[in-house]
Formats: sequence, C-alpha cells, structure tokens
Amino acid sequence: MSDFENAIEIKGLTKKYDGFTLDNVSFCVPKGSIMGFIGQNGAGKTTTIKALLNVIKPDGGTIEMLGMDNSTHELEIKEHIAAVFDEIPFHDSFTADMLSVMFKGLYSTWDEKTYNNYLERFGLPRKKKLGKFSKGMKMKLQIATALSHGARLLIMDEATTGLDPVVRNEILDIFREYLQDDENSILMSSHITSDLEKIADCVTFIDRGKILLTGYKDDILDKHGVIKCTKNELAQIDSADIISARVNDFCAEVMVAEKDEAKKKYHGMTIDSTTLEEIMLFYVNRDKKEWS
Amino acid sequence: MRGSFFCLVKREFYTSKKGFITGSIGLAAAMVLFILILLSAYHGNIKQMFDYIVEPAQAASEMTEYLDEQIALTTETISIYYKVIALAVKYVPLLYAGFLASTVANTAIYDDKKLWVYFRRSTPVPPWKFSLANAVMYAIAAVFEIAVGVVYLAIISAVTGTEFLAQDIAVLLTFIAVGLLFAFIFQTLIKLLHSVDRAGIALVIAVFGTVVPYNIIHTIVDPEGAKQAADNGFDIQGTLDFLTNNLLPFLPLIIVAILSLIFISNYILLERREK
Repeated sequence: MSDFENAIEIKGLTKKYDGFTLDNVSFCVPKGSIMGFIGQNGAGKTTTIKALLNVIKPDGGTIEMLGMDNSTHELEIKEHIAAVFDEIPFHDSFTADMLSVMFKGLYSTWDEKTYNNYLERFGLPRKKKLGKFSKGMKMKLQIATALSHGARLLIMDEATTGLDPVVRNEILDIFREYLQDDENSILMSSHITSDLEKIADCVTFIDRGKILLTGYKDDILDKHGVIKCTKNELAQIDSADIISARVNDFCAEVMVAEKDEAKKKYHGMTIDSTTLEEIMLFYVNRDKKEWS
Repeated sequence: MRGSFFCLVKREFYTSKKGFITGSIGLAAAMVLFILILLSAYHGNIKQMFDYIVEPAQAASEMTEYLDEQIALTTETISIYYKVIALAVKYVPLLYAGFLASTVANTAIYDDKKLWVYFRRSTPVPPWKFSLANAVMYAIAAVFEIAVGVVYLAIISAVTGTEFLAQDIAVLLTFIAVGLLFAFIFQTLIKLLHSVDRAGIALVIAVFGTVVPYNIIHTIVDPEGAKQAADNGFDIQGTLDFLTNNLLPFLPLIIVAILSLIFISNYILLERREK
C-alpha cells in the first residue's frame, strides 16, 4: 500500500438512473479521520457507497481508496477495507463461530484472537444462531468481524440506524478506539446527525444526488448560523444570504452560510449557532426558501 | 495472499448441511427399507409366499385363507416379479441418492440477500473463487453419492448373490448427472428470480415445457412410433442397455461438464454488477 493523504478520494462521480442522478459527486475522507456522510433517505448515500464497493459501475468520475484506483486495484483495496451495513448481511442460521470460519476464507489477514476478544467484550454468544440475536447484537457482531482483519478503512452504511442510544454510544466508543491509530479512517453514512456531531471530524452533506457541503465539521458548524427574527426583519435580510427560512405565525429562523458576515450585516438580530440536523433541514428545504 | 479456499468450501457445506444431513438420513432409511424388502424376497416371507405359489396344489391346501385359488402364478410370472423387485430395490434409492447434491443449491437461497451481495463485493475474494467453491461442493456431494451408491449396490449384490453390473454404475451415474443438472437449473433460477418459490415453479414449467412439446412433436412426426411406444409402455431394458452400451463411457465427462457449467454460470451471475 502506497503512502496516501486521503483514505477516500472521489472526483466527479456520476451515475444516472431513471428518476435519480448521482451528479458529479466529489469529496475526500482524510486519512485518520471519520467522515460523516449525511443526507436524507434517497439522497444518494447508498449509491455512492455502492460505487465505492464496485457494486455498480459509475457512468463517470474516479474513485481512489487508500491511494489506489478502485477499479484497477479492486482486490488489493478490499483486503484493507471493511463494510458495515444497517442489517447484517449473513443468513440467520449462521453462528459467530461459523462466521469466523467464513472470514478465514475471505481474508488472509483474519485474526481469530482479535475476533474472539471482541466477542467476549461485546458478550456475544458463539453458538447461537444470528436469527436469535437482537439488532444491537447483530450490529456488534458485524463490527467485530469488520475490525478483526486489520481493515484500514471502515465504510458504514446507516450502521447505527435503529439502535438504541446505549448501543449507539457503545459503538461510537469502539470507533473512537479504532481511530486511535492514525492509519485508520471511517466513512459513516447516516441520517442520525447527533451521532456524527459527537464523533465525526469531517462532514459531507448530500441531497438529491448532489454534494451540498463538505469539509471539517467544526468549520461547517462555525460558519453556519440561524438568525432568529420577526417576519418584518426577515424581509430585510438579503435573499442571497439565506439558505432557507423556517417561518411560523410569530417569527422566523433563517439559516445563513456565513455567520460572521451576517453578524456584521444584521447586527440587530440574534444569530445562534446551529447543529448538523438544522443545517440538513434548512438545506433540504433550500428550494422553497420559506417553509414551516 | 488470499483467504483459505477450504474455508469457502466449508461455508458452502455449512449452508447445505441441514438439507444434506436430512437427505442422507432419508436415503439411509430408504436403503435399509429396500434391503429388508430384498432380504424378504430372497430369504423371508415374500420368498415363502412365492414358494407356495409355484406349487399351486400346496398353496391351495395351506394358504387358502391368504391366496385366491384363481391366481395362477407361473414360475415365469414370479421371475418377472423378482426382476421388478430387484430393479426397484436397486435403483429407487440410487435415484434418491442422485438428487442429494441438489441440497447444495441451498447456498443460493442463503446468499439471496441484497446485503450479502454488497458485502461480498466488499471482500477481496474474486467471483471465480466463490463459484469454484460452489462447484467443488457439488463435486464433493457427487463423490459422496457415488460412494454411497457403490456401497449400496455391493450390499445388494451380496444379498442377491448376483454380480455387480456395468448397468448399475451407468444408472447411478445417470441419476447423479440428472440430479446435478436439476440442481444447476434450480440454483440458477433462484439467483435470477430471487425467490425459491418462483424458482420451483419455473423449474416445473421448464420440465413440462420441454417434455410436453417433445411428445406432441414426436406424435406428429412419427405417429406409428408414438403409438407403438404407447402400446408397449416404457422400454426399461432398452433404456438400461442404451445407458450401459452407449452412454456409460461418456457419463463421467457429462458430470464434469455439468460441474463446469455450474462454475461458469455462477461466475457470470456473481461477476455482473447492478445496473
């Protein structure tokens, strides 16, 4: 594996479907970081991940993973990555022990000792069939398998969706531990922005197949702000500054992309910090400009 | 360096294990049952019954409660009965054994999960290796079928005191080839239709769709031959002779060809990407 700066580097990724287009998607996941890949259902997150895994053939663009082109070095890349999905991809009749046998067949770097340690740590039974596992147990098992062959990049597709907060926190702790090694990186697609707010270093926001925002999470949060104002004050705000505005009978909340500029420009108004969830909501409604 | 191929084959075994074990138990039970029938025909009650029949006077005096005096069984008729029993005892379990390999098609059922496809794509194992593991599992199942079949035929030969015939091997290999062919079609249909039920129905339609038009065309093209076949029934001996004299040398090749077909079709199906 050559030295590389970005664990994932996507440039101009395009895939056309009837009724949906992944349109010129470009973003990077810096090595050693966790990238939150945010978007509502159907925004294009899974399509992007399918392109990363070579499940689909893109119509255009290039993808580099771990410093290698993902079509010419596919198998080499895949020795060093692991994918985790919202549902376990193995049949219900498998057991944790059988999975270990199967993974020995899949990866030359499969480390049974590490796997056993994870099973013990997560309190997962070895002989019980997966069909009898809870959703949280299944997710922990997937993560145990993903972390037991020395993967340098984890690709997670809605992996924390549907889990209770306790299990989600446990899983986030595991990811933090995994990222202690600077060589490891994570791409975590999710629409649960609170998880990403806790853990992500970078964020990419996709909507209707287009990347709307990408960069370091703190920068994005610092730059964006919500102006809280009356309806009359809303009329005074330059429409070019507005991402969109949530309006009710009494007041309005306006998302702006340049908080510091807005503070100077609209100094009489209150400008609050925002969250990833709010950013997602205001951007999703950007075409309407005003929504309630 | 890649993961262990043996472990991939083991995965195939794991997914087909349940059906394979259940099928093997059923096969063993059928074999025991048929051996008991054979023992009875050669050394037990069925033999005794036939012994009485070949001496009608004795039968009439001793077995009037059990046999109708009007039944006039001759030695010739009884020898036909013995042939039928011998054929059924020999070949029905072999037919069952021939379809044991079809349990390997279970892997297709296990793998017919959208996320498994995505997961498989995330691994460094190329599609040909998964296909080869599947074909190897079919080959192992076929070897198992041959071993079980040969042991069974040896027991039958010992019980009947007859020789082990080339015809028996021809029948065994034919059943295995047909079983593999059906398993291949079924597995391919599961992968294409993403449903065991739909694949089952499609298989039945495919079989009838082949047999019925064949018979109709045969009747139209060769009405005399069709009438003769209908009058005389299925020519068992002729078929067995054809299998032994004409097909036997090619049967191992046919089996290898079907296994290759399984590998190639699997590879094509695994290699294709989502549109």
